[in-house]
Amino acid sequence: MDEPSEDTKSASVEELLPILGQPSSRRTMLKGAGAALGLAAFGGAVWPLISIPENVSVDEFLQQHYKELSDQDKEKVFTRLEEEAKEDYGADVTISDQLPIPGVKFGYAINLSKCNGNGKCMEACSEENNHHRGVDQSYIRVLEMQKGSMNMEHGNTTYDHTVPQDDKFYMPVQCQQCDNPPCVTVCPVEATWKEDDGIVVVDYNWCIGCRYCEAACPYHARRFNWEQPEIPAEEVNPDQGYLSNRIRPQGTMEKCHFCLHRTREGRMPACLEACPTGARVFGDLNDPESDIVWILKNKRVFVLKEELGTKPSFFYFFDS
Amino acid sequence: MCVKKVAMCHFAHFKYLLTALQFTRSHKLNFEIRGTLFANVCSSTVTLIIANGNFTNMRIQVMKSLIQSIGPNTLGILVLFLLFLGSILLVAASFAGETAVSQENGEQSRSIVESKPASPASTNYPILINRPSGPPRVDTGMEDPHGNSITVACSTCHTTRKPNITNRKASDLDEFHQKMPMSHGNLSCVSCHNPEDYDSLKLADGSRVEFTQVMKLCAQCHGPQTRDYRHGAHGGMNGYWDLSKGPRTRNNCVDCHKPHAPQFPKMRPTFKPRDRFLNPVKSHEK
Repeated sequence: MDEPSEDTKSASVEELLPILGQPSSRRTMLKGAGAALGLAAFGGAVWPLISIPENVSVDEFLQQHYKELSDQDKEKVFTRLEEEAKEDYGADVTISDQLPIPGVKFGYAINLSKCNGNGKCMEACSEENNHHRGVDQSYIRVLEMQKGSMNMEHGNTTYDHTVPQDDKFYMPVQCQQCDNPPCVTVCPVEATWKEDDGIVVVDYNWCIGCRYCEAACPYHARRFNWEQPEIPAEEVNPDQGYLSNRIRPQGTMEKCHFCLHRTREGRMPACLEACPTGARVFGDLNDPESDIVWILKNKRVFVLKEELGTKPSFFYFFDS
Repeated sequence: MCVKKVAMCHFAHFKYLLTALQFTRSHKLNFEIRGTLFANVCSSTVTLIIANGNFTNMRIQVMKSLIQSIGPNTLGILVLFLLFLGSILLVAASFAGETAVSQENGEQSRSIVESKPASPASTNYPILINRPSGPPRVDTGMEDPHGNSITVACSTCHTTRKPNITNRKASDLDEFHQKMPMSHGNLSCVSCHNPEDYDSLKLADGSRVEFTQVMKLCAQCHGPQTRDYRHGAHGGMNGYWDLSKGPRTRNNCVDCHKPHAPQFPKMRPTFKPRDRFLNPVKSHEK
């Protein structure tokens, strides 16, 4: 039984926390310790709400995962991101949310007999996808490879001479949009997933930047934003998608998304349109009449690192 | 009752259904559930028919869950059935003398039913192939009083001269065209040029072909390339992969290959990502 304290002033406090009025004993000491631990745990649980960094708005902090957002939520989020782009970059952008086209499965093929390593695809990617101009980032790496080897680890990305060299071939590598994507499996927060049209996307606002996916990807296709991207206002591509080419925050992962803000509208990816050799072919793998299906049926085709079982939607082929 | 919306969802996404039911209750709307209508195609699909409500948002959520939960083939069937069911209900509703169904606002554009083309074959955009504008004009090296260079048609000179069909190289010529690079197999000038009318070309069988139809000429020898071109595996393109959404523009042979020296030119890479392990980062220099 509790013994009421004689001090009337503290009576109200005791009503609230009756443990204060109890005589000191081992039991009350343990009770007190338990209550203190409980308070500490509660404080720890709500601490993130209090310690929101200054450059993160409350809306941004409380933003839900992309898949949990209702259409009203999305509208609010997109408006906020558009305002942020205006504030940080001085550019009027439109952020859209293209959904997968039902029944479409995207595939991409590169003709290695045609590719000459000129790197226009990387340039187009950088411009289209609002990459950090400080490092001229791109989702594509064009590897210069010794003829006779398919070992991508021996490829060289830093060649700087007239192309093509006679003893070399050139292999652009970007996200292979695997059907069995290791990067998705390792993500601890489900910030990256595979959409119905085969594109593996990232919710840049949900990503915690742990870079597990970068380590898991056998194609070195994922990029980390070490810095807040720097893009001159006139170079910002205003046609942006939430899951694709909007300006990514610092500390998040990003990757090729087959330009989904374009391809889900039926347009070609930017790297394909930029290719001067016509080495790139894009299309719907579910459409038996599409160009890409003809190539898969009639050309010598291989997929990169097939032995890993990642099942890419990205193919390489030769003319003869 | 006036039927406003017909929506379906997968039982796995039960919370969307519950949201819908709560909404209908709170707005005192009539609703009914038709469970497991499509037991054969999709084992646990529910059809929800809701009356007189603004259900745009709910429907989109439900539709999204529908796409996630079922395959594309069954979706087609479901969409057809949905339209069928909707039309029947609409007819029944109007027959009962109710007021007409009001139209929805613009948010509907995200609806799955509308984004799927009804008949792709009939609405396809064309594939446009670039074409040379006509016979080329040759620069004479002279300028008119306004400073514009004077160009002439091929026939200006060639109608007055007898062709020498043994000429193979530009350097064989007595005058004009002498510095033109010519490395196209073993071809001679008149393999492609028409000695009877230099404003046109000729096929191997001697028949005339216009400059605008040059691909027909190239295709005589370059069969594999032509086959690949027809299937999109050769030659660059721009525009739309999905011809139901927009047109596609394709290159002509001579857009990329010079007819007299057709090998694709060597290039110099102009763009290199400056990897932080290899080069200093530009932003730090600023």
